[in-house]
Amino acid sequence: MSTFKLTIDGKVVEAQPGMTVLQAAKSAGIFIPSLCAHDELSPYGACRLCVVEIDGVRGTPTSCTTPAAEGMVVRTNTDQLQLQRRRTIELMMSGHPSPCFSCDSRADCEVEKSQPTRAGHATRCGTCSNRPGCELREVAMGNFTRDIGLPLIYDESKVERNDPFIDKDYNLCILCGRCFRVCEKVHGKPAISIANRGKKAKISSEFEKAWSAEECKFCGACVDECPTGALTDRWGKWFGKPDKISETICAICPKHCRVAVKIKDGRIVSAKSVSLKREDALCALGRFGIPQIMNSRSRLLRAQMRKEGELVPVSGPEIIKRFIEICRSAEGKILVTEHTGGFYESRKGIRALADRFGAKLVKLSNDSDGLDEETKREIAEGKFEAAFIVGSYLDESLASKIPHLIIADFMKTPEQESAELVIPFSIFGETAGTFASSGGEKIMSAAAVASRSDQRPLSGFLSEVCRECGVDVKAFDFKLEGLPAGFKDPAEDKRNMPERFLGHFLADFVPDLEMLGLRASPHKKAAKMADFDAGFEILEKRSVAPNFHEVTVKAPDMAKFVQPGQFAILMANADSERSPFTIIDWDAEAGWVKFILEEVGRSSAEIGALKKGDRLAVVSGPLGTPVNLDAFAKGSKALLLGGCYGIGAIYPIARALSERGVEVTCAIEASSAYMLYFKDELKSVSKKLVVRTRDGSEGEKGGCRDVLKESGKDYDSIVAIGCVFMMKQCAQAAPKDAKHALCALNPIMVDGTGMCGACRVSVGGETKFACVDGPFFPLLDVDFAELGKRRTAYKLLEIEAMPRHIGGKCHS
Amino acid sequence: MAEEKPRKLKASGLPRLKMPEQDPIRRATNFEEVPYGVSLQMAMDEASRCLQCPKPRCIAACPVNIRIPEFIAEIAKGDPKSAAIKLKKQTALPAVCGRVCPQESQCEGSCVLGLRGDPVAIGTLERFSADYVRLNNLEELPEKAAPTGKRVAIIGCGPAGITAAADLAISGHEVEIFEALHLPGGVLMYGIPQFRLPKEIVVHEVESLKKLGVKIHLNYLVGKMRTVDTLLSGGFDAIFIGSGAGLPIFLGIPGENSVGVFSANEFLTRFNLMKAYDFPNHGTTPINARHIVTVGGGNVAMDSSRTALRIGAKSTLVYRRAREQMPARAEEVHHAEQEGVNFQMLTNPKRVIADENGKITAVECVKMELGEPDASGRRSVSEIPGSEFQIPCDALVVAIGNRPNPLLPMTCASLKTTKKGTIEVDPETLQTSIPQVFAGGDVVSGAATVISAMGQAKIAARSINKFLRGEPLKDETVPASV
Repeated sequence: MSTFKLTIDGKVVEAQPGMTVLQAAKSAGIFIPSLCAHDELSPYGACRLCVVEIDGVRGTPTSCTTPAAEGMVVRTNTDQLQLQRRRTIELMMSGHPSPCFSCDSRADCEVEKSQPTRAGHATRCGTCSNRPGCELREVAMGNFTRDIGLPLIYDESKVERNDPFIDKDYNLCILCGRCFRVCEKVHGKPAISIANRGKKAKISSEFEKAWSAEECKFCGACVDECPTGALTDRWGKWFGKPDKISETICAICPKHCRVAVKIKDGRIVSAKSVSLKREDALCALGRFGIPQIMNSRSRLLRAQMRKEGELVPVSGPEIIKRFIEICRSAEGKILVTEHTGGFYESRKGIRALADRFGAKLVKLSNDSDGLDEETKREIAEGKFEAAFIVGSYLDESLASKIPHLIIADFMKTPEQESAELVIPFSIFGETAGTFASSGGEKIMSAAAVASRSDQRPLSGFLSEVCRECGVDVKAFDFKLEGLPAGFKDPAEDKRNMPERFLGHFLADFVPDLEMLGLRASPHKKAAKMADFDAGFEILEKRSVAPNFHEVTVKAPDMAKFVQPGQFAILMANADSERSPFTIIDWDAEAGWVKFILEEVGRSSAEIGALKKGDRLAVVSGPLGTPVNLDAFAKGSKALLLGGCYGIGAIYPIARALSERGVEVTCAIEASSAYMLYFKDELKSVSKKLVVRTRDGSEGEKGGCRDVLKESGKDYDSIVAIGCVFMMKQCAQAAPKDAKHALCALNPIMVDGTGMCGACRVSVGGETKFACVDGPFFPLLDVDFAELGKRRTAYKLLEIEAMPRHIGGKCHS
Repeated sequence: MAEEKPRKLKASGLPRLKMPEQDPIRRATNFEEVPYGVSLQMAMDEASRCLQCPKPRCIAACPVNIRIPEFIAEIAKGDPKSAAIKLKKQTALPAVCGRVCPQESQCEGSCVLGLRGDPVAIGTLERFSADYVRLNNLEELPEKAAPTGKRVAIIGCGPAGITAAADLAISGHEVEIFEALHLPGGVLMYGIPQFRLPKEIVVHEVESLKKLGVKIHLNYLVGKMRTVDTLLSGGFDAIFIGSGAGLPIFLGIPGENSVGVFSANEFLTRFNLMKAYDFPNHGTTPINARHIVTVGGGNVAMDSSRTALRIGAKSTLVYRRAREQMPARAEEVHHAEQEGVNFQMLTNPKRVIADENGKITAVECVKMELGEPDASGRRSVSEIPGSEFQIPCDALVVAIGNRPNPLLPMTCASLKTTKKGTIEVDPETLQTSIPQVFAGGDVVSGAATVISAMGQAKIAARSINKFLRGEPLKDETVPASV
């Protein structure tokens, strides 16, 4: 086809017929900002960022929907267009929680907090899992101001977690329509579309039902194409940008789809389809299941051999030696299983072995629910001296009837307890090998990550065994089968998903599958420790701001002794972490204490998920040294500064100081107006309340730092409580000669009683324990850089700890 | 056994019983208990080795003066239940003591058989009878004296507190324990690892304490809530302080606050009390290190370095003196070495080296040499100049000792303490500077052993008994036996 020419920004550009103006510009290296446009999706013109001026065309058409034409003269970057784009972003941002954009400290803050906080709700970039990969953020960066004065809207109820695998947060949605367009492209008929109009418009399945009840196949393409983080992968979302993306083959079902896996720190943390073509679409197992299976805590890592009745980890050569001994001694009385879903190379090895030792060879598919009745009967009758089983196809009672049982598997199972040899192997993605295409052709699958510990390719193990026995594996080449007759594609319908892989119930490793009707194995129902029948009842619980809960707990022993500034250790369940939370109010007579709890990870999310009437397993306190009220003279002026949980934490101090006749000013900061809370409470216990927001949506724009800069010298005492970044800023802004300036530190703690030293902080060159020497320390003497580093010591593990199972108590 | 005639001492001729153990390679990968325990027949055979000395030296060598030949005689007869009843008279925690006592320097160290061969495996037999009655549900509660109406508060539910509580409850007093953590057991729960002392045993012992009528207040930190003074004014007639030595001592070397440097308390608490090895089923984050260096030569250092192996790390132990000077229990040192802990003796850390994120990358150590013995007979050590070298590692566990937590004395002005932070007591009665208050265990002696804490607790309980009856605390005559 012949190309044609047009002029963009004064440059003559060549274009192919059928190209849009946006595509023509892009191919010529001219950048036009856009969000809804997607090379593989139909033009939509929703975001209106790609507007251009075209000679002879009225107004500012969107370049993504305008076909390029011969001789067109296009301008992409006039002042008028830039203003229009900026206004468009501003309008988008009024419905998208974006206070971080207008915060003057954003750059510094994001250095300090190199990863977003794992909060339950994305109230700003700093608590949004998609911060590292957000396209909206990228486009808006540098363009965005907040001068049209639209209020920022945030609605907690717009967060939905009622479906497996996918978290939906409509606060973040900019209605670009990529999700339903990609759904339409991949599946023909989209399972989702925009429901309602205007303010109420949202992405939804029909009649706003749960997606799991509808057509949705959980292929995850919508999640992968969402530019903002409105749709996220619940399990994998906090891992951040992958180090690399590799291609491999998913071997859970015989279709053997190609799959792109995202790798971080040598682990597969996510998977997606290799293209948006219909034939490349993945099912829920391929898209969401693979990383959860690979990273399961039940993975079999060590090669073991029975010695004096015990399974003991041993080295490879010893295993091979014993393996051959068993096979030789039981020649003619061996059962060998071939997993037809396995690598071609391993299957050849198994066949060679079975032939050499005159074994009965049973073929089992991945989804098979065990051995056939005849073989079971033979086992029960003691026909086999030995068996080599690949995968989990035996129950414990059958396993115990085989004198010399060899099990090769990739997960731990109960029947391995009866085995004489246990051989861990690596599966697809971790090892290279050959599978059959749907037509029976050989296709190569690459290893995307290295195998761990003793895991190694089964084929390698078997060829070594065969070499030792003098068997030529090559002689056992066979023709691979294509798709079995009557195969139903799980990517076409989620009801076609196999329930098992290598005999294991997949829902054991991917719990959300149970919501799609897949069974877990019966022994998986873990019993909970129940030593906490007493517990501490939650009397009241309310959300004061997104991610912030006010929790009132019945704790009469403790309520009698609390003093301002103290904290308590809370545990939601018997298996939770011990985490410190500041006590913000208490009533000795009624016997309750109150906390403000900010959701920042697993522990706080667990408590955040409890309801009025539920019980906390542990409420231990009061702990820490209370603030020394005597250091505040009557009639003197005190400035109390609070950010995030500190807004609540300064309340009891303000109240106590006011009661003593100290003139108290409270200054609080939040990223945006919707994150402020406790304003009335603080007003009632102080002379003056100063409010600052980072985006200027309420009070003056700025933070506590600015209050200190402006008026810090007017006060006799200063107390700052908030995140490390906020206190660090306060320390920098406080008058250098401030005589009485305090901060309250909140490092990682385990016991909170001075026993472990996890909470060590450097103050004025000395090491202190924040739990007993603190939490209050001189603001100007604290080594905040060290504190910041020590607080993030567990950041990767904390991602793994995030509760992702829905239906139970934990929901974020 | 005064009524029995003295008989001729005769050796059975059997070799000392060796308890079957988990294979070292296997056990280094799990948290299951290392020794498996013995059968009744094995125990009876071993018990038959006891000479039943007329003047047993083992009893005096036991910090709680267990009448060792008597309980062994019951086992020899094939009656572990009676053996257990006899044991319970002197020890509230036989299943624990049988596992964690340094028998080689106590009862077994003074066994006559040990003079010319191997001593009776007293620890194994104690453990056997306690386990036997527990597993077979044969336990009987000791008889309680008539209620005295007196109330005793016990601060700390560790080995000292449990022992004192049991003795005082049996004497008829109303006993309440105040424990700061969310589970009872103290160091038995947070410190000593599962593979050395299964937590089910601690839970069981605490349950039997409850059956004696002892009330346990968990999550109750005395000092931050009620204080010693308000407990006394609030209706308690006496107090026993057994709050232990929970404050970790750090090395005081540069870089010690780097990420990846832990006190042994934190390291062990994460894995024992909080079960971080079962992460993420348990929420407490484990320490995922490839090479963990432990500093110290005591039991806690052995526990830490062996725990390090079990979480899949390479484990190195550095100790500034020589192996012979290690204060740890011989069996623990042996087990640690067997499992693959790499010992670097006469080595002392000088500074911690960290990367730009503040995370430890190596520890710089210096070689030490032994000098002349000092007044206490312990050989001094000094640095060999210029012998500095680095051990690359990603975690450092400091296990060089603990001090008593200052929190309690801080909140009770009239309670006198020593320079080391321990509570000052009359060595004979264990009475503190406050007449109604007694103390025992690590809070008095600094960091020592479970059994010595229990021994002190028994003495303190006896003093409290006398105190509550209005008797003089010190007897005119020294008691013939305990």
